[in-house]
Amino acid sequence: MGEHSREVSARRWWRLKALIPFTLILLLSGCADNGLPSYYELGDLRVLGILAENALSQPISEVDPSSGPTVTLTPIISALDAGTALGNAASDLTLTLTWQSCVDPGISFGASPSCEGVPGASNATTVSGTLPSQSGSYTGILSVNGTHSVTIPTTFLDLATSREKQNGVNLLVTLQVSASGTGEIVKSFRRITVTTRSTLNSIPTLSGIRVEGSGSNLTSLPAAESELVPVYTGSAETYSLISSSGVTTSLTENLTTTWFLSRGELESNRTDTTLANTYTPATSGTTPQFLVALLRDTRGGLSWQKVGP
Amino acid sequence: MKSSIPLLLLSAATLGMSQTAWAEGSFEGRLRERGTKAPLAGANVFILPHKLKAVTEADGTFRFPSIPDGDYTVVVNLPGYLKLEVPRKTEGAKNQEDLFVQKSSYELYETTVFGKGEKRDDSTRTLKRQEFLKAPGAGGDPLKAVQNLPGVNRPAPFSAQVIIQGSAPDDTRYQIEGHEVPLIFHFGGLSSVVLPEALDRVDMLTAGYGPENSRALGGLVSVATREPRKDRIHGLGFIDTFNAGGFIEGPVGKEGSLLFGVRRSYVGEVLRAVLPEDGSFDLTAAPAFQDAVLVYETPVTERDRFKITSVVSDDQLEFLFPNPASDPAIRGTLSNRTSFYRIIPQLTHRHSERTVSRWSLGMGQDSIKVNLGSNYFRLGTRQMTARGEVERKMSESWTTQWGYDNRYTWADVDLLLPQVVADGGVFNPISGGELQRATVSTDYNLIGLYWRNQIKPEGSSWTLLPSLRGDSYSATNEILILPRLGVRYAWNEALTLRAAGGWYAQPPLEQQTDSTVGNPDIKAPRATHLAFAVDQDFRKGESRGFTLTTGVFWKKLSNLVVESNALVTRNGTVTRENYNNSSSGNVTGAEVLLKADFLPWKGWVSYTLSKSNRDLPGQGTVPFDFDQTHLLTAVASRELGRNWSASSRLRFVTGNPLTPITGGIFDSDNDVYIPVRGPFFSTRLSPFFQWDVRLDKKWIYDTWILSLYLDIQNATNRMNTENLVYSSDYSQNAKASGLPLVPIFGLQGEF
Repeated sequence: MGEHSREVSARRWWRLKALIPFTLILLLSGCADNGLPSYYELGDLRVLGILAENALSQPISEVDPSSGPTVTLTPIISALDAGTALGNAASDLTLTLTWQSCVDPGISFGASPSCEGVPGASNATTVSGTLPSQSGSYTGILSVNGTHSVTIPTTFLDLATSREKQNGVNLLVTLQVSASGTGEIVKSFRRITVTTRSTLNSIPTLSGIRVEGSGSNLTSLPAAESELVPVYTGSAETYSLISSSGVTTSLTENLTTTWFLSRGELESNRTDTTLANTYTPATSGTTPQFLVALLRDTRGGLSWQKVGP
Repeated sequence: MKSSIPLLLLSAATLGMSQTAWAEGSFEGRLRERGTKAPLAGANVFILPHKLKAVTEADGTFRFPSIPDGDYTVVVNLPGYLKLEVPRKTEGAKNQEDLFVQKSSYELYETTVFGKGEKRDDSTRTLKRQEFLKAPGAGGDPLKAVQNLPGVNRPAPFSAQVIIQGSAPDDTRYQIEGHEVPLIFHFGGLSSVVLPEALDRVDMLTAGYGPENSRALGGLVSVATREPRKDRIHGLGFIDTFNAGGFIEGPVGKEGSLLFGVRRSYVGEVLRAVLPEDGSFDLTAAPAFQDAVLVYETPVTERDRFKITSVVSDDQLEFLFPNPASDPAIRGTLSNRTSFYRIIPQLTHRHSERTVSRWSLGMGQDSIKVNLGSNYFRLGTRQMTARGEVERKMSESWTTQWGYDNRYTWADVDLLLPQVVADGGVFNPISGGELQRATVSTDYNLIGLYWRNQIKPEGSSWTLLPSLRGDSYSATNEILILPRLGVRYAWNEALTLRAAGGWYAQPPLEQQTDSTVGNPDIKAPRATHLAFAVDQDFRKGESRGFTLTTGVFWKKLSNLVVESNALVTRNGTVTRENYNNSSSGNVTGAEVLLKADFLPWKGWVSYTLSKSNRDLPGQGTVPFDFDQTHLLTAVASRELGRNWSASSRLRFVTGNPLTPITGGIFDSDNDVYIPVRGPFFSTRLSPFFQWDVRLDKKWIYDTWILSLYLDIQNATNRMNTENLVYSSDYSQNAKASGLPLVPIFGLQGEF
């Protein structure tokens, strides 16, 4: 770890510790009243998540390259307010999707999440997709061209070190989405971790949303304020990583539910899966009332559910 | 007093005539200053109308062996004190009473503030106790008062760092008694780590500083404790909005003296009370800081003087996020605890009239513990710093010093943390950062040797200060030769011109030289300093008037370390470069400090004009994060009489450069957006303006003094923009304001 250490230490984590004063600034300045939209509020065009599945339609985030697997990617997209811009509530929303993949250029070290200029990057693939209308609101999976396939070369890890093979080397998949009629363009990405580790990540599956204490999953949002909890199978796994200094570390996933809402209010944008989120229905508005929840496991594992129309 | 002399002569002439009417009464006691109980020697005490006089002894005692029965008045009338007149009655008894006279004006500590002190280093700016204890906006803190001086950039709010003349915050070193400490401010910059009342002064070393110090491209901030008083036992206790504490001092043994002070903060409770109710977090830790200081000083022999200073400091803060925050990696407990202690023995030995040596050690431990949910950082170090210097007056015109300045560190590091990316001052979410894990035990040393000279030919107006310093850094395997030169020219009694410059270096950070997460080929960042200044004293020997210090400074920075994502071949293996020395920079500036002393008015205006740039790979020349073109501070105080005083501070600072964020790219794996940065530091925050006021009142009792103050920071409640906060996808932003109006009440008692 090199030498000198005191100022080392102090400075090594200066950036991290700088988060604390920055957090205080936000708290003391009353960030809750800064007028910025909450994360859970759907509105403009946005990608909520990109699902990855293997040939058996099983959610994955890690693959073994030995068989040259093909991964199917499915974006979950919302454009709640697009109907207003389009002026025709019955029309489906046409989206242009541009996919590209490459070896991760080092996003975790500050590199831009883009395949432009990355050696070996695939050619960009552009398709036109369709997001079905729900009375002029648009959230979910595209009905046309809703998926994109990426095949992992069997030679993907040939140049990797043993540590990289164990931890995994990320294949970066970028997605640019533009909406016709609204002029909105958004960019997103996800990683497929290519690894030779013996046990691949097992993705917990979100099977539904319930009112806390209730025995059945919701099919529509409750009319009164409620405590909502996710219903899922699977659990937080323990896995190991080898650090750049050669130390093997055992880590445990955190399972997090991210919540999105078309109308109404939520107490939290994200919740630990053991905790409930308080939902308060909207008292006015004509937008279809629905909720989207996504469950993540901190290793790229993702599953989702929608409650409502 | 003059008018009373004929009366005394008259009374002496008539003494015999009235003696038969006197009875056997007597009156004796001690004359002391009210509040401080200091004995007043050589003062005249009169008894009227009997026209008797006694002169006090060294311990303040006086005695009237015989006074007539009946009513009389004891009168004491001293310059600088309120006249004392107390009626008494004697009926032949022996009367004993201590008399207390009240000063016209009380300062907590009597020190010469604007005096032209003997400065060893022309680049040093010094604040004495009297200045920093009553400086408005500083809350009585010496290091916050330093920010009133020219050349000190305004740090980020809640920052515990001092930024000197456009250098990076990490380019400033902190010292206690000349020995390096990890921090000099408690959490959030609320207070210095040493009780202000235990300090004698705070020194700030700026561009062109001397060879006794190094390893700092920007400068140093150094505090020195004062010699504990030994005339009697003194004590002080205080309580204010954020903390409470006190000290006791007095003689110990035959000739020694000791001071011991403690302080404990309850800022955690205060913040909890004022922060808005928000279920997303809970501020759990309190108090936020505590510290203690002990100073013992004694002569050992006629030639030796020994002093030992011990400082203990502990800071802690803890938030609890029950649910993941806007960055999902921030969840659970977010805590930070930093503590250290130092024991600093110092010995000064006078070998002869011409030779004196000074030796000191700084021994202690540092501990930093950061928890971020399941991630953590632990650092424990044992530190030893050693200083020694021999000063010899070689001739009437030449004084020389040889010295060493070494530091040895033994460190244990244990960490599990994500890589933090903050290019252009914009943080990426740490959720996507590469997780790093390390457990390391290591040691390293920094060796410094210097030779300083002061040459002033007899009768000449010139003083030359040539010096040479050599540094060895084990981290980079470098030996650095750093020559420096100071020149002083006394134009006349009131006008001095001076210049100073030289080469400077500091060791790179630990992770930068590490063979796995850093680059073992990294070298030490370097700087060249040059500073010119003019000191003009307009007072013409009077105590009232103006003094002016003005000057320019220039710093060329090279070999600066920056992060690199490039892939390089090292020892035959393709690996990430992590860091290189490809950045450089320039700082130029001008400073003015105009002080005014027109009792009961005092004050000063300091102004700095500066430009600080960095050359960054891929970005070209960009402003430095804390490049503040204009820094204007005006401070004024006035004694209002009856022990009331008022003071005020105005600050205007150009807004910091800011990197615009032009959008965000959604990271589906971590549920966060990666910011897309525009040109680095291509915009600025709006200017910062703040007005602080302070009101002090003292109540003087015979044996103690009670003080009350109200320090109102940001009296206009101006919502200064400290940063921009963005919506999650970076499509919208809003201003994040600093602290609103903050009233700080303080109560202090001393005896």
